[in-house]
Amino acid sequence: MKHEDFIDRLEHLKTPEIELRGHKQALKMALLNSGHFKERTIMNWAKVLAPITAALLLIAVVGVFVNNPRLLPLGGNQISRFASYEELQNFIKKNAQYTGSHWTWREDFSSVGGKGVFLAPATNGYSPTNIQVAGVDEADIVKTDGEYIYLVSGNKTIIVKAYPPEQAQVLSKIEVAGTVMGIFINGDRLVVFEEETPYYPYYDIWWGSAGETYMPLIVSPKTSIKVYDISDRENPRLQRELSADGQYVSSRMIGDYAYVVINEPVYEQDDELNLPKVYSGGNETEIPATDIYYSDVSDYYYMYTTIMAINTQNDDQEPTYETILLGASSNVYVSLNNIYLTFPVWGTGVGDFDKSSIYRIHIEGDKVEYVASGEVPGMVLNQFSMDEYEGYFRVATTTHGEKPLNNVYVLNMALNITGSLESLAQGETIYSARFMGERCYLVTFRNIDPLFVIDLSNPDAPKVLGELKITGYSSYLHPYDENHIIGIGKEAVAADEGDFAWYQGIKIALFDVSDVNNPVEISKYEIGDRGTDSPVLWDHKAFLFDKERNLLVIPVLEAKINATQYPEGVPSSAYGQPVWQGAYVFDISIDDGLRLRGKITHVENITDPEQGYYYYYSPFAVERSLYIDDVLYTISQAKIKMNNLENLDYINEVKLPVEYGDGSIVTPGIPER
Amino acid sequence: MDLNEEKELVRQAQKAPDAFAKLYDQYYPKIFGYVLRRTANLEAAQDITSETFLKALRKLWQFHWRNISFSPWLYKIATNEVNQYFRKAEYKKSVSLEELQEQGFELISPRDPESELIEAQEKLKQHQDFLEIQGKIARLPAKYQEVIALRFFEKKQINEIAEILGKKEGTIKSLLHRAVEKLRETD
Repeated sequence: MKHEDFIDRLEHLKTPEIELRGHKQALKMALLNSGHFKERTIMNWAKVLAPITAALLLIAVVGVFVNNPRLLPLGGNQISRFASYEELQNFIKKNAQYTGSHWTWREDFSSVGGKGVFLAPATNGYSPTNIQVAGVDEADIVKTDGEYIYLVSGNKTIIVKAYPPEQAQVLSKIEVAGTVMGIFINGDRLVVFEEETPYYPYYDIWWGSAGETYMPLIVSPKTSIKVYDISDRENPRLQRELSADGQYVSSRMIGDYAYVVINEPVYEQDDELNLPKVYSGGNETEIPATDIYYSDVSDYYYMYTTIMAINTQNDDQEPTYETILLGASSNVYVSLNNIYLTFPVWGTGVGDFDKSSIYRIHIEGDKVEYVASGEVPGMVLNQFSMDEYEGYFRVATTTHGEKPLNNVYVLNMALNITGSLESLAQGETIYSARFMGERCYLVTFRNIDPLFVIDLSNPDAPKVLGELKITGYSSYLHPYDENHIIGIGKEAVAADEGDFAWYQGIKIALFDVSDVNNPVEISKYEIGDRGTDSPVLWDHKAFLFDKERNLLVIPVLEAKINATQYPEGVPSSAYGQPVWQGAYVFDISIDDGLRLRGKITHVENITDPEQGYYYYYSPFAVERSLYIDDVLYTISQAKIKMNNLENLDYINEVKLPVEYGDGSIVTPGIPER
Repeated sequence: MDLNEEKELVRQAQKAPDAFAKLYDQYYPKIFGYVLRRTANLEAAQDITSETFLKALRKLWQFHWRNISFSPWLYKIATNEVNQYFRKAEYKKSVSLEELQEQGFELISPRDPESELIEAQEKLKQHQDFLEIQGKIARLPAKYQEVIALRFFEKKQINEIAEILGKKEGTIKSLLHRAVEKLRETD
């Protein structure tokens, strides 16, 4: 048989498609019950399985205790509180459609809006976390106060003396049982958000039909907020611990108050619904059904979303909170005065398209108050798709109908739509958005990248001012100044294979929008081939920019294609091999555009392609960068490296303890596989 | 499941069992099918699939996202396990898998173990053409087995195979060519 015929035979060979359902199920349960998850189990079984009688032992801590449901016709949706526990139970039974296991969708806590249009300027000679709204801090895995660096590594928070660099050293480590989701620094206070995920298999099918054999899992994570006194950085002292049932969604800090959003699925046990609980200083408080808000949205399943406010400086002040019963999945944006939660409402796609519900919760110090809800067509991408400015909430959405359509809506504080701009860029979807005062910049993409400049000066009538069509797309837009924007994304080339494009390497661009009708790209810099990536594309906190210092730093995993492997030309769909990881440091200015100042890596040996694959998992991958005075700090799980900010000369480094999957702590060096 | 959804699931799956369960449901059939088509042995396929997911669970924290699906990573673990199976007369289970089994995890269905396995054996026997050629493939060096199975049985593209095996696309192409030649010689 000829080679070609043999290939043909192989290609058409009928192969067995056999399933062992019993093995599949047994292995699944064994894995879920294995030590991996068990170690995190903190929930007391007896407590979990007991009927929820604790509902009778309530301590009303916050808010107005409402005995009668109060209808608040504020926005598109009716808001009210449940009249009784029974009413909550009936509501869930009537409206929930989901019968499988509960799982939650964590979105990045979105933007913080308000008056500030531009980002907090770097003051005091060090760079703060790259946040969306001035005055509203966002928790991250690395923080600095100009002398110390605080960083998160798995379940540890490490305090490092960072400045002056010659004296850099690890001062202390705080270890918690769960996973650290992020930290805040407020003077001598360190706030640690910790999530633990205990679970237990739940054998009784409640909503499922009688014939079902699967075993849904009820995941009951617990989120803790731990406040440490770090006046002695070598000996942090736990001052207070607050927690609530549910999964950490996001957090913000405004002034001395930390706000945290926690989601907990609603489930039933022995005909009783769980109710959210809050724990503070040894006291357990169950939030009564009559304190829980809801609107009349029917969903797959329901979650209790609790927003808690904590004074990070005054340990005696009790936390305040508000709970809303919401549907599945959420996006969060926070301005100086409001938290906005958005939830997708799935349509059928035929004459009934996707919508997003929006909830506004007013915050002011310890005051947390649910005040309005509304609805817009389409889906919200992320926190940067939302903004609050001078009494209006603005949101960019994509409607996924027969063809995707993109829209921008302006809503008043009651969350009624005052103005809209619909059906932009048919067939494309939003890749990034940025609101800057009276303007909105919007990037949509399918095979080329239009950058839209939208005028929002009249909240009743948003309009497109101009657009720029270039190749590639931006996943993150960052204001350079009033008239210039930095875009970070990927280059792309139209595919021969169809009406789409293959993305290529990383592209950083600087746009001039001073002529709003004719935006132009004044500078661009491309890194690597297809396969090159940067965490900035999905996490703005990895981005370091300082206009005064002409500085732009991003972590990059660079991939290169070996063209000799493609004698007939490199196809656009070809991936490169990873060749380098580290921080790209740029000079950025209007006059000179983007110019590479240099590169810093933490990787000590780049090896063959076989290992290169695993290289992606390297603890030596730079994740964040910051500067203090004239020192650039790059941070990976394995070390903090210090270089001169001007010429990138090596100054010093601090090795960090790296924890491997089997729990062993390894002194940094070449990672063991 | 789109890439963003999967990315979020993978991130959560490190500690949230429900997220891991979703990934498992998505990939179990693919991995079990792949391993079965490599080994043509139902018992071994169960062991190796178990081992693959156990390792994936333990190593999940190492999985960093880079705009590719989670799947090449799982296939890579499974491929390593299959190769190990062929290298040794007896497939050596990891300590953790043995522990799992001691804790009561059965390889076969707890509901109706016998009939399900027997039924599956019968189904497998019906694929005589496949079994015949599989027997020949299994005698080739592992590097040829991998590429043939991934290309012709799992219908993976060259770039996907390169991703899974951590080799360059050109290498995969020449390996495939040589593998088919070797196999043809034994036919």
